[in-house]
Amino acid sequence: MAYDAMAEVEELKKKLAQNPDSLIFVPLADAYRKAGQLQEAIDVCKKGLEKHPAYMSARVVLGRIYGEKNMLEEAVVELQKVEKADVDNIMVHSMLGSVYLKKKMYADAVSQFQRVLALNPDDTETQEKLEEALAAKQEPAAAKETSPVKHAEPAKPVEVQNASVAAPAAKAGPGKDADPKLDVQKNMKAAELYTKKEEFDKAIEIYKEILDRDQENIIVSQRLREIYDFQEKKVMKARAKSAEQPGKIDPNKFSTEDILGLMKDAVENDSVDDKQPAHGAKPAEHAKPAEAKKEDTARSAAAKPEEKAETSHAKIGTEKAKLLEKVLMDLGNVEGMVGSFFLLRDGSIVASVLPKSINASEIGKLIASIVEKTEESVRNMNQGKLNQVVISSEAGQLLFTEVLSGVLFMIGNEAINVGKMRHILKDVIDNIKRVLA
Amino acid sequence: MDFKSLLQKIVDSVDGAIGAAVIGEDGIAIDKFSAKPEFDITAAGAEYSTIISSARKASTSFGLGKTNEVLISTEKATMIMMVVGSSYFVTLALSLDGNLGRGRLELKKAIPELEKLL
Repeated sequence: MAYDAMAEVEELKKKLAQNPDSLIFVPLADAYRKAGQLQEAIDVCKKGLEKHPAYMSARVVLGRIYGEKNMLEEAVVELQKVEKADVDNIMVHSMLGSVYLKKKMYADAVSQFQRVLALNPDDTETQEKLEEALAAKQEPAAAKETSPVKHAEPAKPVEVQNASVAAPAAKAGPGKDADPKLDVQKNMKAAELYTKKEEFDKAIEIYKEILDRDQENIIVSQRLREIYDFQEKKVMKARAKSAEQPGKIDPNKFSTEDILGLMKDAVENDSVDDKQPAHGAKPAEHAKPAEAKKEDTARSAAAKPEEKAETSHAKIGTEKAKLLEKVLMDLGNVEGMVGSFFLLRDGSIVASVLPKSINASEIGKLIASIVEKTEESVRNMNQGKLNQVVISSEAGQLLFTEVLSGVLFMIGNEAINVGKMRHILKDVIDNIKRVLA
Repeated sequence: MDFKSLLQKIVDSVDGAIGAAVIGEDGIAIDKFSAKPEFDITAAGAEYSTIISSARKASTSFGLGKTNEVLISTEKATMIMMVVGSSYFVTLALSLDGNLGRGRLELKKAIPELEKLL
């Protein structure tokens, strides 16, 4: 086994030597880890991170290696960096939970395992770890609970369909010498089952009852906060799905349907481009301070996009920018197309068909950075020039492609599919090239 | 069926397929199958994880929810990445004349099996 791992190490070392700026240092560090050479693994990872400090996967691997080397403090530091950058990283929560368990920081371990289960409720391994952490956490707490009053008032049993875990608590009955630690655990399990079934009100009720009896139970307090968050997210999701009228849009969390609605309005009223005076004809609007613009953006998310998002026409010339916007406007007629924009490599958007509720300049910078990272990865893989990227998500599609000196970015909703996006693209690219020529 | 056999099955059933791999979010390949040795799927794994991460950021920025698939066309190849479970993705590299539609179909078909193996 060790021989295989070392062969892999040698192979990866050669590849890294051929392309020292690539991300292959991560598989190399992991190969060292598998070979049991943990210090070498750490050195490789740290060296690679000097060149790629934002590469979170490398920090995950480094955290894992530190964990295996029992350098628990260092492991926590690395993993927390990833946690900050990516709050829903299930792997990091799981690893942090295990490290906290080793450090006997049971409350923190419980919190991390609960996050894992919130993201993946069927993870039986984590369920076992959570139980282990909970039991360890409850031991010292139970030792403190010597008040006879508390023993006389066991937790109210909770009925949960198919939740046999609640039965022992029910059997204890009032007046019996029930173990409060057991009751808390059983009721927490019941609450977790309700949470999994997304019956948040019932879960909240149970947690509140536990807290009534044990106000210092930080695990339950934390869990209660999380359940409120889940409940809020569920409500927001339902609202976003049903919000077909612009007036109901939450300006802070607009969905693709919201954007589509705004786009349709714009197309129907032909107000995004044609009715608007040429760029620069409204100096008062464009001279608004950034803060005021931001406020406008939030306030008018539900309003008709009487103007297009802020663009940097000057960078390619107003006439060209207007022609480009015309090309993008035509895209608005395609069923499922939500919006599009054309940006330069520095992130400046030179033409866009987006509702003004989208902060074009912020999006431009983000997209430019994503395009740059993707291109770098493609370069590192020796795959030549990047042509296009299509991202399919739950509620829509994104497509970006290089066109001459800039990048065309298209946003589609669920009605548009990958094939359609790619089909449309060819004509749009030709038109953009004609404009920019 | 193990990972390698499943990956080989995908590659064998798609015209123009170069290689396939199952990769963790951390960029480490769990297993791989390469029809052309010159295509380094291990190195690609590390890079792919960065691309998936960028795609997720972009999706989140537009409120599009969870990313399911990323398709990348380059001068030399087309790469399909599909998310498997919560921490993994499966990828298939195709030559420029490869059958993209078939590739996507085969990956989608393989996902339940991969989820079982994971």
